[in-house]
Amino acid sequence: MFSKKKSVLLFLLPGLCMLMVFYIVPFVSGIGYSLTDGSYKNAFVGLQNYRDLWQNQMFLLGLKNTMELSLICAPLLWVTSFVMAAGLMSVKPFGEFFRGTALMPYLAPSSAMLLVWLVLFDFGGPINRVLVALGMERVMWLESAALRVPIVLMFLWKNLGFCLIIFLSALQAIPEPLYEYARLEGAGFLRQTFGITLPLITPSAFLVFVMAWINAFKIFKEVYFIAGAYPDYSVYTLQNYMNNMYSKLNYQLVTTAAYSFGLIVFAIFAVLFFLQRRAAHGLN
Amino acid sequence: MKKWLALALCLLLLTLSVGALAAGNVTIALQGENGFNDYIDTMFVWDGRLLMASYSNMYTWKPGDTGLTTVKGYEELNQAFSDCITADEDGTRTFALGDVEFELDENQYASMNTTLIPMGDKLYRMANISGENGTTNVLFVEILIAEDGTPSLGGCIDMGDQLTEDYGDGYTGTRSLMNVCAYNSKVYARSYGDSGYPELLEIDLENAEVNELTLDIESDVQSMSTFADGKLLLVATDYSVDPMVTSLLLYDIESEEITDLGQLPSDGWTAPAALTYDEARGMLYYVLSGSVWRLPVSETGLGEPEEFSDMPLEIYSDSAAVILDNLYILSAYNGVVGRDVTIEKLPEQQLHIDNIGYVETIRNAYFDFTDAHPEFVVSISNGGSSNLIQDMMNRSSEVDIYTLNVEDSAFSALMNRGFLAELGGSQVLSDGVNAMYDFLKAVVMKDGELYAVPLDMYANSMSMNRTLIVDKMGYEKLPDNWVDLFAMLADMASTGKLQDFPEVTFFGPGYTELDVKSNMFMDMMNSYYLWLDQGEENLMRSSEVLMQLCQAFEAIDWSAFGLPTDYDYEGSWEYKEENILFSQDSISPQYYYNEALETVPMAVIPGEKPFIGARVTVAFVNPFSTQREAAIAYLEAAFGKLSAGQRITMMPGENEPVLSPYYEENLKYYDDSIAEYEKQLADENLDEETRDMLTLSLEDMKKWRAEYEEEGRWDISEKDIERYRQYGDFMAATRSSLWGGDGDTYSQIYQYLDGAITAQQLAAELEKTLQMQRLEGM
Repeated sequence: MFSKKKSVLLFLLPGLCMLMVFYIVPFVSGIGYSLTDGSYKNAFVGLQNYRDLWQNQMFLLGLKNTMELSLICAPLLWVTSFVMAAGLMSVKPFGEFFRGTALMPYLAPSSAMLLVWLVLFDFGGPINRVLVALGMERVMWLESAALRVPIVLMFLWKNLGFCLIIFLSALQAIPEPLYEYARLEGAGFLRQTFGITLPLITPSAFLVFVMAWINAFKIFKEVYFIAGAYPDYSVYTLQNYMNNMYSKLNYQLVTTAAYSFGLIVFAIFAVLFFLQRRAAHGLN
Repeated sequence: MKKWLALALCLLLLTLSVGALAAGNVTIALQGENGFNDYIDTMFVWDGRLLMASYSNMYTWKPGDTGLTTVKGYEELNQAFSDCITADEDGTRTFALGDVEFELDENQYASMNTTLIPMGDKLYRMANISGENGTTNVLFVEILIAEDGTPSLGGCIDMGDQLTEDYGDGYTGTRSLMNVCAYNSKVYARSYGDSGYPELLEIDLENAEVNELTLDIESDVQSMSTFADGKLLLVATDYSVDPMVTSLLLYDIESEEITDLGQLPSDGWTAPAALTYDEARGMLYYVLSGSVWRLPVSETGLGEPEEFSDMPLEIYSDSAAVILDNLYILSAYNGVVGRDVTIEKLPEQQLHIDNIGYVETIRNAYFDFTDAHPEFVVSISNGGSSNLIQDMMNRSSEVDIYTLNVEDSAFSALMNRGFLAELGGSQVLSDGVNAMYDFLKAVVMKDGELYAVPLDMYANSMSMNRTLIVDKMGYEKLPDNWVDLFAMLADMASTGKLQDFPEVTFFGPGYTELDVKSNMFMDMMNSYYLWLDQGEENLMRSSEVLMQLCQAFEAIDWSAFGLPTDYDYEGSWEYKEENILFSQDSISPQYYYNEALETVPMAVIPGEKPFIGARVTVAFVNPFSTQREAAIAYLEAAFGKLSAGQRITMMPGENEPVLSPYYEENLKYYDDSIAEYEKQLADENLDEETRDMLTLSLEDMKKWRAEYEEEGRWDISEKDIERYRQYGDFMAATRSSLWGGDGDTYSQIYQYLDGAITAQQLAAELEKTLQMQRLEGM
């Protein structure tokens, strides 16, 4: 048994070393970095960076926008991908085609997709032409607070396929006889969904929710590509702040912001995991 | 016995001393040093010596010489060549030299080129026969060197138009030949043809034929050197990939086949240049990133490149390099230096300079510094500010000194975060900066400490034509702020005043309505950003001031000026300076002023202080450098190399006029020309028409000489200095570029000019960016 453990450790060693070198060590040394003053002398200043950061209006604005965008995008993505997956389950002809097509945006390079979005939402683009045809005013989608709409739509378009695939495989794993029994017992569509479908796909649903939220937190490059380092106040994200601090050589505030945000994300997912375990326990 | 031993000892010591003299790096010639003020265009090894030539002069040098030896009689070759054109009694003009003879029309003339080409034991110089439509014939003229070293013209080979290129509109020029080398009585060179891509030419002088050799490659050939056995080494760069790939190719001249020997290192987008192959050592020598490298090359492949010396000269892809004894010798526009190829490795002590700001004094300081510190080698490269940010993040000590334009956002980040070494310990630098204008001191000092040194500066300002605006159009005075200027333009448009002056142009001929409108607006925006830089209180009023400016701008009816809406390529580009209304001119004691225009420092709105924006380039020491003292010593040397003009520009206490170094030489040219005309006029057989023409030319030449004698003595006169000093108090360093950051400002301004957004929207956008930067903590 001891030699079996030893061989397991040996197999794990390269991966553990990489983890140590590229994650653990930088993570720990980054904490130390966030406690220095950021000049080339690197004097220790304790928690001053954290105090300065949490009093900075732009950091707070970026954090607020990041949270708002994630609260809009993650649930929207979850619901949309679930509904589409449920719909695709009942589409027998061309089902494979739609499944494959839905994954394409996830594989396409972001910069290529952004060019398409820039054309669509341009002031003279097709979206505004449709609005004008419907008797409405043109909207400056790319230069105002309305930029949130194309950003959210782009997020959905890019991530929908992957979440769809996860939901589809989870739905396909539910035994068909359960639904037959439910129908025989007189359960309608909603009762079947909340009584059978959702409880049985809880682990996958939770996975989709977590991934959606993590991806929503990472919304930045689309905003930067369209609106630059200083976009409209409503789409100025935490990563905009961190990016600008980096270009000003203020690496200390970058790491301070990253760790602060990391703590918040950790707290959020700790709550989510707790809720998920409670839900799973309840279902059992 | 003792006698023989003594003799042997002497001989041994002599050999050793000669060896000692031959070994080591040498500075052969340097622009501006020891009376050398020439530009070497051609260089090669000839008869065991280095032969260098510019247009008018030829020099020789061999190891052990302390300086260049000027070859007497070379300058006279230009006139001797022109004298090959004679006219007979009925006016028929003929060119005749050696076996070449042909008739010329009245507009054709003969002139020599600078390119000298050695071919075995013969020397050829390129020459042209040119006329109204450019070059008609390219010639190779043999240069004979007599026993006493005096050159003279020998025979001539007429290549016809085989080496001409079409410039368009029926005008032709002579193709320039780069990396010229000779093999088996043929000349090989790179040359840009009509295709716009570099071609490989084979020039057969025996048969007067030019052939383009087949180059079956996708990449661009950057440089070339002879190899051995009728083969050439080519450096080819493929720019279509990122990062670019530079390869060394072996080209067989006979079969025109190419062998890829391997990849060469490159530095960013810069490929190795100044190649030369030493067949005896089997080494290829080249320059990259401010250093000299050697690379073992054989027909089967490449060895490992090794950096062995520094290269202080700034080189280009067609810079010439040769091997003479143990020296790799390179000529560039600013000099000729030799580097010892027997040095085994780079000295331990190296100073690396990233000359991002392209400051000339940094390069010029190399020689003074290395003379005083021979234990150092100095490599000077031209990187980018993105490398600088990365270097600081990595706390890299690789680069010791950086130069940077103050407008670059990286500089303000470095100053704010303290990523510059303190320089206050250097008395030379402290005293020097303290003698500068206050606005320059404010840029490089923080909390009383000195962190950088300004090494270059130039300022621009709006200039206006007082005679036109005040005297002729009747305006009360020249406007000294943008609101009043726009109000004046609005009045000019509404009253149609410009229609009374049809020859008057805004900035010059050819400007369309959009050009004039956008130029005016951009100049105003530059002033606005300069005003914003002056303090926090200006940031608080930014939006209100910008709105006022935009409202004044929008009051102008640009269509009323009758400016063209499209470019007129067929139109005349002639103009008189006194008919130009406005200009953005350089404010400098050294440069030409348009006498018809008056510099007007501009304020943004009435009641505000006017400013003149100055672009400043500074040098600073990397705080992570392990050779801080040496780096500071280098900066001191660079500071000492500031030209008199730069000192006058940056230091209000420097007011000594500067003599022109070419004054005597130019006066001699006038005197020689006058003497020549007088000599020709003394000929009693001259016809009336020729006599009148020569008399007119003589009078003109005397008039120009008198003007030059009065005005040409000074590079910077007392009057120039006095005029420049008027504006010193208005100058302010430009810290934020209008086009900086992510380019949003630029696109927003053009959206406004196109009418896609209103002034309020523009002001709101710009205000938003400034506010956000301020709230982030700029």
